[in-house]
Amino acid sequence: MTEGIVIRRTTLPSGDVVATLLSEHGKWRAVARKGRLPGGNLGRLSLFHDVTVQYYRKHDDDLALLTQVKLNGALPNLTAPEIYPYAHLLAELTDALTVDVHLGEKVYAYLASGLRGLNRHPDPDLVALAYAWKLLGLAGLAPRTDACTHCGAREPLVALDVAAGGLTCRDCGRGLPVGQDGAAELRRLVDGELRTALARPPLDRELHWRLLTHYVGYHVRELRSLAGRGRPAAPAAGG
Amino acid sequence: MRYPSALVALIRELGRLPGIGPKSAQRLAFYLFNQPEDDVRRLADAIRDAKASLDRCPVCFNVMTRGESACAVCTDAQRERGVLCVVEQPADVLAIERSGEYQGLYHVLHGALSPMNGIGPDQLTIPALLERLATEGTQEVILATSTTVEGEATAMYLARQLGEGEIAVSRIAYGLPMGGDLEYADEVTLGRAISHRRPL
Repeated sequence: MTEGIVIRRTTLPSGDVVATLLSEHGKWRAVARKGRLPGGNLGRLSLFHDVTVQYYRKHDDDLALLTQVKLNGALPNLTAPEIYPYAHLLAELTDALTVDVHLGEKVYAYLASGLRGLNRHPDPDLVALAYAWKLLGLAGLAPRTDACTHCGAREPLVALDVAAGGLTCRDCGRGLPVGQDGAAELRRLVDGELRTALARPPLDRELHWRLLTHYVGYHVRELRSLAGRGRPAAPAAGG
Repeated sequence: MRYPSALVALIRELGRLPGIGPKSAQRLAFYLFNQPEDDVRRLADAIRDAKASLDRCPVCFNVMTRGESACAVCTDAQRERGVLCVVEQPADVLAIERSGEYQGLYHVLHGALSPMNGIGPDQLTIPALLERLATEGTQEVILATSTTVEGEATAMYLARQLGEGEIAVSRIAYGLPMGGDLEYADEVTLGRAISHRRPL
């Protein structure tokens, strides 16, 4: 028995479901035979559900066989159009960060907390932005924000050099321009407490999403959910 | 020992089918090898003919015979044309048709929203649906996407897109499967069944 959050779910034509779960002990994959059938206990295995599963695994098998699934918690608001893309972003980023390394229980705790935050915070865009930087930090990929990543100068920091992995000063002049205010906001998102980051949203939100997109694309990989951010929240057509 | 190249090619192609792993592909390949030649030819012809003669309906995106103007449902004059049922896959159309409870038209999305898989509204037939609703005089849209997180999100997105216009938007009912015991129902289904209860 183990607990986990379903971060990816693939259905097969046979009715089986292959789920990727993130638990305190790492990421693993399992198959639920006939998991697509309604009414069965395996129907609890939905995306973003926090579940306790009973499984069976032969020594050499890459894929465990789920025999029972118990639901610990579901977050119904995650399907709302203004939240759904961000839940995918956090799940996909977590999936990408845990490809080769075991990041332990902190990533599980942050993902769970991030999804809960998306479920109830009035500003899911900010929650996703803040948690994405925190997840990168847990993976040891956070940019350096305390000093220029080239010369070590404390200020004025005005740009983000994505390849070098940190802010840069005016004299070094390399990277994407963010301005001093943008640099301070990035520092708050990356190194500050989550509570502070959520209480003081960045003024130019799109700038920070651009920075995150470039940074993740370079240091992790291109995320599909990041590329398509905002699409499902498009304004209503008015029918 | 190495398998003959034709057998290797057959195993490789069968292994590309969804849900078929290398072992199953090998088993199927040997099964086909042991079948009478006529049976194998019939199967090959059926696959080739299906691919050559099937197409997507330009109106509802259900499966239709290539060369026809629209599918059997869209061209059926007896259908209720003011009601449109939105489903994820052509197989869902067959499932609803089997119920015998629905006489309206359909729209097949060919998937559900899934940003992490790169599936947004433009990858589905949502733009065509919105265009259809603007021109066809539809009075009611029934959102019959699946009750997975992806299906729910797609339904909510469509409901939001349709807004509070003149078209009535409804979602298929949530609830318990017929003939099942409550104690074996999962918490989410049971919770939905209670919150969406109806007066008798």
